[in-house]
Amino acid sequence: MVPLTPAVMHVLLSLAGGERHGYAILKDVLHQTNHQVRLGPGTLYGTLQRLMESGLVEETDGPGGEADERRRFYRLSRAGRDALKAEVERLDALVRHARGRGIGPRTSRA
Amino acid sequence: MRSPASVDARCCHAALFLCPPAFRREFSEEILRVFDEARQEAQLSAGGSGLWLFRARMIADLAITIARQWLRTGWPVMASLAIVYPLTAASALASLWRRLPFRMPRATADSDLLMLELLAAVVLLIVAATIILTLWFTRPLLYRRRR
Repeated sequence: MVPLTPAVMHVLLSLAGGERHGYAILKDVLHQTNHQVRLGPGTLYGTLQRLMESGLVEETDGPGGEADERRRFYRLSRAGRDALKAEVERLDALVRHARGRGIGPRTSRA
Repeated sequence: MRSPASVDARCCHAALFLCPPAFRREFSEEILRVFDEARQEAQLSAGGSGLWLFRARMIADLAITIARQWLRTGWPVMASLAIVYPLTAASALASLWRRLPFRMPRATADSDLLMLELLAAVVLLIVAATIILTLWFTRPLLYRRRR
């Protein structure tokens, strides 16, 4: 399932923080990318559809007491968490390789 | 309580009708809800100019979504095959026909038999195409039932 597309990666990363509804995922992606990536609703639900079909994301009932009960909530499945972990490890190895060749900062800015 | 649908939301709703039916049934309500919320936020945060930028983004997003979703259904491939396959088959048969020393039978009985064979071949092709198309387009239903 690797490498993941940027949209898939952002959605999986957002859901790694817990179950969310569509708009919360959009806001979270915007926040985690410092307003660099702005997913549209069509792209978001197309991505969620693909992720659900491949078993990486599943729909949940959502937390109780939510203001709008008609919202649909999504969460990472075990396979989704494994795929995300594998992708992060792949990217990490790639970044380390790039740094070994003198590209990019030697240490993480974080 | 939700506010009455804006013109933008109505346009988005209309654009969603261009999506494949399975995707529309599954996600149109959610897409509209997210669209509405994002629109309100764009209007509150950036006013009129922000709203125009938001509209441009949404048009691009919906256009890409519609194209992607139709590609996912396999319809464009099927339509291309439906056009290319008969044309290729007909031209291949025509070129083969020219090389063969075959003449149409003169006797009426032979001619009738040939017509019957052609008719049977056409009927078989239609039956095969119907089975293939039915299996192809019921995939989403089968998937949903499995879930």
